[in-house]
Amino acid sequence: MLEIKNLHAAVDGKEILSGLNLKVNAGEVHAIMGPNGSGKSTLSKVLAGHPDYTVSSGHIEFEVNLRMKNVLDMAPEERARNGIFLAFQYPVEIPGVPNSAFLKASYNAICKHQGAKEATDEMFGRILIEKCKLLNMDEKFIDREVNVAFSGGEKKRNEILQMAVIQPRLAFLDETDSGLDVDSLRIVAEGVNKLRKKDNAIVLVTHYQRILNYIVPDFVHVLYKGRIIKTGGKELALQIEANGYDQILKEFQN
Amino acid sequence: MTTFSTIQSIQEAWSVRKTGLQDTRRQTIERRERAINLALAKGIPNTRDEEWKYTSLRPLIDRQFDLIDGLRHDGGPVDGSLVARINARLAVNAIPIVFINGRLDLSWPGSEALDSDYFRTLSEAELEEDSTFWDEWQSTQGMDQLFAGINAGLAHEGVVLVLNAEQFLKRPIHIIHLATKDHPNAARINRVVVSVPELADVIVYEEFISMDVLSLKPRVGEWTNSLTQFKLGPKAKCAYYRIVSSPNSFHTGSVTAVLDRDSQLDTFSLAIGSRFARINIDVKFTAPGAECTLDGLYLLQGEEHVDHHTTVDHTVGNCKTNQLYKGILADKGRAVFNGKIYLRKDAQGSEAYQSNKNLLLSSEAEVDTKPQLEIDANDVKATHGAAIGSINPAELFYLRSRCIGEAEATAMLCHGFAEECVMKVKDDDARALLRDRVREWFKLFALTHSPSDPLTTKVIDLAARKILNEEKP
Ligand SMILES: Nc1ncnc2c1ncn2[C@@H]1O[C@H](COP(=O)(O)OP(=O)(O)OP(=O)(O)O)[C@@H](O)[C@H]1O
Ligand SMILES: [Mg+2]
Repeated sequence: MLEIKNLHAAVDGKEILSGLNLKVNAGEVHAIMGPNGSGKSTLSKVLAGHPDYTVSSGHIEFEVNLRMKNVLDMAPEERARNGIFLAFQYPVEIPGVPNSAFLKASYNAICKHQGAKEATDEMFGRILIEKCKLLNMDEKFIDREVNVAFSGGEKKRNEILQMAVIQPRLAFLDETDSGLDVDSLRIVAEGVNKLRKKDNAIVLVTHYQRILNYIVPDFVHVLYKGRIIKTGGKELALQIEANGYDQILKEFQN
Repeated sequence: MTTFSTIQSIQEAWSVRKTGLQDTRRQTIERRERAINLALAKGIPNTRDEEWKYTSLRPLIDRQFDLIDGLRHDGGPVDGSLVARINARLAVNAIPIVFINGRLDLSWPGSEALDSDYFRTLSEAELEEDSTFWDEWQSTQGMDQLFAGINAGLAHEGVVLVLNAEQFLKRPIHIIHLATKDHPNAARINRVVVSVPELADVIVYEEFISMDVLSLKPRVGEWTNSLTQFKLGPKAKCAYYRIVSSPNSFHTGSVTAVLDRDSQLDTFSLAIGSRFARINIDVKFTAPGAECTLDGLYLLQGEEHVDHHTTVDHTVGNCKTNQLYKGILADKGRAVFNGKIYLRKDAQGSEAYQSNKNLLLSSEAEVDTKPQLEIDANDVKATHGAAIGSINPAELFYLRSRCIGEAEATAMLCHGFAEECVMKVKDDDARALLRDRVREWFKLFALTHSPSDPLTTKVIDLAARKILNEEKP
């Protein structure tokens, strides 16, 4: 469903991704790990279409209506409407915009894209309440301004609420587990699992093995210096947790 | 009716007005003359004057206006659909006081609820009250300013609200200054004084509106010179919501307020349409424990010019000022913000927070902002700041990554920017009303812009059109 080939991307003239390859099929869960600054968030932003990043070569293709389409040609909103969702490592605060209005605009943009009828305030209110229940989230967050004065963990949960509303086919979760307390982590992970379907895929960017106990990956990749340098099964995450990256980096350098 | 070239021939306008005032008391005429003389003493300011650095009076000087001279509306019964449209704009449960082209219409449907217990017209109060009453209003801070003085001298009619101690007006007073195309060049000079004595409580809306806004076609180009004064007694409470929405008009407004012990004044100045507007707000604390909120929002398009000059004078201790002014500027809009807060040496224990934030949507828009905090006391808490920026790209990307198109996302951010200010308003009804007016601005925006405008403009334009479409049944 997603195919990234030989991707080179830069920000402010500095190349961050240097020939990255990644293939994700429907139904799979991938984990991407890697030392700080290796380019994981860069990859997620390039995928979502952040205007600060330029792609100099390589391509990203995503399956839309059973055809592989060039993602790099699409505006960020088109990518999102076609099913690519990025949960941000650092969600943005948007003062003055109520979470409910924001979520409704997202929801209706997709309805429109899919040719479905847009939801009224009442209909959407019911949808939101149901999603909050699904994620065990306090409804009071609906009325607050988007992410404003949310705690770190609350922001992460709000990302998953957005995911629940949008129901993407590919969810790219950038360190959604960081900063969550034990209970929140379990709730968020269970929420993500509830949103899983056989034609959806999940890519988890994480530093810790912990979340992978709940959302079990089919593949674990190590991203380093803008490339995937090693791919393995779920045991690779355990190995990294126990020994760090030293050995993997040495192997790679040789 | 006298045609005069505004402020250059104030003296002439005064001699005409004076003839019209023959029935009133001598002391009234003398007082008005003193006000005119004081106003003119300093001459007409130009842009070398620090207070007028970014606002040239040229556009006002270059035009001829008709000085309205009747006190009361004389155009017979007002068209029913106009009444319905105006009354639909009133704040929830409010009592309307309507001026049509500067003339008071006391037979306006709804105005019969006014009680002579607290309400009089300016002309009535000028006959009834002696000079001690009027001298107090005349001597407050801000009254030495040109336009306040012109008003105090020339005002043809006005509203005098004097509450009793402990009186709580359950229904807000909504003053509407309506400009119609019958007097497209009217000079409307109306005065409002509001006295809220000890423990009394009142909510006042004052809205300057032209038919343009109702029909959404800018046409009426009148000049409004208003003066609105407040006096709050100990523990008195007053909220004042001021709205200017007459896209083709000239507006010079003065607001003065004097706050006694433990009183609280909340003000909101919303400017959503005027070719030229200068709004002066002067607040003075005269006893400890009082609080004042000064919030404002200006939304500019086309070649509009909106200048807010606010002054808060902490002459005594333990008072609190909280100020947030925000502006969105599209096209060639120009805004000026000058906010002075003085914390004098006896203002120990005072707090003052001031912020001005501007969102520029076009490279041709301009804002000159000067937050000014002058502190002579050592035991105070105070912050101030100003910001000018454009749409935040991180916020825009965040919304777009959630499926929301660029135009809609931009509009959401603009609304959000404005909303941050509107949200501060504690009164639910007032907040809803201000929100409505902000939407109205977006609507007007869509109707006055063609799709050939530059991108930034087009972006909100598209979004504004979306709002229009949503509203169609
Ligand atoms: N605007 C920028 N200009 C220059 N360098 C940048 C810019 N943005 C990011 N970088 C650099 O790109 C590199 C990759 O950053 P990225 O955020 O993708 O790392 P990451 O793998 O997500 O790290 P972490 O695990 O800490 O989240 C870092 O060295 C970072 O400093
Ligand atoms: Mg990162």
